[in-house]
Amino acid sequence: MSKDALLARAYESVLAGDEDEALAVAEATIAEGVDPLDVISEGFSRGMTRVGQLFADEEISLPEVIVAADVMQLGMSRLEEHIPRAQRPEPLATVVIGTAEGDVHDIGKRIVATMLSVNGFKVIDLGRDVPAGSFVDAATSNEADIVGCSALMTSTMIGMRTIEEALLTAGLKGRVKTMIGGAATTQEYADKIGADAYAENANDAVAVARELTGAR
Amino acid sequence: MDGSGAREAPYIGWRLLGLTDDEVQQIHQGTLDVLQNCGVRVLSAEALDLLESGGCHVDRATNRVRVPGHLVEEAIDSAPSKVLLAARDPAHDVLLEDGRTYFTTFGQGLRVIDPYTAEVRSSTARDIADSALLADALEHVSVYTVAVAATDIPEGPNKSLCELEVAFAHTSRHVVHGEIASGEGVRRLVEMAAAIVGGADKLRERPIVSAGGCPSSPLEHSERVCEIVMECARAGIPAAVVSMVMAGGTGPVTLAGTLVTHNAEVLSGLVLHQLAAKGAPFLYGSCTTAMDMTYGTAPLGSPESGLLSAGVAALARYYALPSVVAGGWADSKLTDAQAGHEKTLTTLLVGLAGPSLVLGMGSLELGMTLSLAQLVIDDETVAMVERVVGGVRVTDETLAVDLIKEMGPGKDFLGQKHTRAHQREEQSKVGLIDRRMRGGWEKRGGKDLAQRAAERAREILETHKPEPLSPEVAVELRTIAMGEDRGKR
Repeated sequence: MSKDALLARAYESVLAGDEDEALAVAEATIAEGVDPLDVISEGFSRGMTRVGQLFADEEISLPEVIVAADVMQLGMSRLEEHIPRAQRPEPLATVVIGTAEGDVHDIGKRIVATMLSVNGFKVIDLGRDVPAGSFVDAATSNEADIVGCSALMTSTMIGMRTIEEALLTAGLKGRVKTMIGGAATTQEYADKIGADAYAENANDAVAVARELTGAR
Repeated sequence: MDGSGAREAPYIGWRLLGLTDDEVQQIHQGTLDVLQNCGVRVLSAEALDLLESGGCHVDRATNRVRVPGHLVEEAIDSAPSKVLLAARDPAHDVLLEDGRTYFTTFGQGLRVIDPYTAEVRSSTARDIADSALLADALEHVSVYTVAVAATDIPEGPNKSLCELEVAFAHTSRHVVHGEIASGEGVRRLVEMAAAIVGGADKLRERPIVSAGGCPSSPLEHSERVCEIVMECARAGIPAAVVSMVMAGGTGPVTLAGTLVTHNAEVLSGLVLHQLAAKGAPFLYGSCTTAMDMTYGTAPLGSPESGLLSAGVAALARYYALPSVVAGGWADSKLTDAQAGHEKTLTTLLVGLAGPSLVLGMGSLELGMTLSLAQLVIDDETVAMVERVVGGVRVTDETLAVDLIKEMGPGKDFLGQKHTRAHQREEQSKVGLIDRRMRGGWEKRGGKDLAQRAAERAREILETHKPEPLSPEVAVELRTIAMGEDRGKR
């Protein structure tokens, strides 16, 4: 199997959401001594970038995106086992994400976390109902570039302001960028509390994260 | 029409037979299976205690509660089938009972289309005042649900109470707040309402306020919502458990499966509610819809939303419980043809299904934007749908066979006593909708509905005077809302 054929198959497997094919490609890559980094970047990742674009253009739907993301991560992690740690693809940036304190709605946040990680970000998902202090602790211990917070309810949005204050106190504000999202939030609220950005949906979140970290 | 002079919605003549009895039974059985063998997660220690002592199987390690079928049946039986939503002015009282459907504003949006500048901006306390005033004036807005969040009031435990304060001052209709912050917030809400009616006992008899909360789908009750449900039950004010499952997201993509998830959430909420206070008034609620897979949003102007609300109405009727369901919504960002389609589709589907209360008037943009012009249109849409549910009455009198024979060929019925006698009940009356021929319409400015509605909304804002609160009561509400009475305790 030529390298080009493997790259094409890796790419297609993500677009088709075909788990078995992705694993077969990964096995073939190892067996034939093809550089796994190339198959990741020009096969699986490129496929996911295409999926992301189709979703941003509203041509495919969420379930298709999630399936593609799962396949991409499966293929990638199978290949990463064979790459020395020092040579593994670097994440674009590290994002700590979670739902504001008191808020237990997280389906949107989970979609954003998935989209960020398949777009090359390292994502630490703290879950739901996360106190501001936990965001800051996680940002510190993971050397995060971005803290992302989500809230569905007006009553829990205040947690976003608390995060801003906590980052300021910890001396992280400015170095660590903040972004907010969720049905209750608006650009206006982001401006009011001093958050660096607001994203209306998962596609916007990826674009915003790229802009905030200067990543391509 | 009862003695108080309160407006009664027409008795439902034409009804939508959506789910059959057998289908409702299957959903019910599926729900009991889920509740008994999977259960729900409950995040309030007090609620866990109550549910356990009530007979549920509680796993403290996982906060998982399994509810046996007989407890569900008992709760359904003990909850009342008629619930009074009393109003400061008894003429605005609403009795929720099978066979009549009432409508209320949607709550809570975050944006407003300014009635004067048409600017889209964040909502404020002024917008709560304006929408309450309009609800007070419009005939078909039977209940006022606090329509928007006041983004100009600082976040904190007083916020929702300050919002309520504004609502109480600008309408003498029954007021609902769907976003009270906590159980303590409910206690203060009850104090405020008691101050208006003259005591907590009077409030039980005539609850002029109600509250509610939404489970976290799938199958979870947050601490806050448990507190709200238990406090409402104890105070004797109506509590709505309003599930908002998103089919394909937080529930199965299949509508029937989402109804099972929804039903399990609401019924487990009902069990908790009835254990807190047996016989307390409860509303079976729904804002459940399908998740749009392309946009990742929860549209409510869609056919699926209407179908799910109609399905919920069928379930609630099966349980003989009053219901509050989403209906009369638009995903459109403005008052345009899309909004016209969505509002009518969902008002009609839901109106024909016959829940007790329909929630949605005045909203645009999937519930996020309030428009007073749209509210005025929605009021008339409800009037038109009420005419539809009134149906075609077939009786000897309405068949008018004797009259037809008597008059014979070639005559018209305009001058007949029969016409005058039945005209009111047989024919819808419009105010905003224009049924003139083109010339007549042009003579009046040739304006489209959105423009006419905006003008009418402004006219009402400028001329309608709601019944004010007495100065003493107003001061007391302010004190309670600002938590200033706490120092005295």
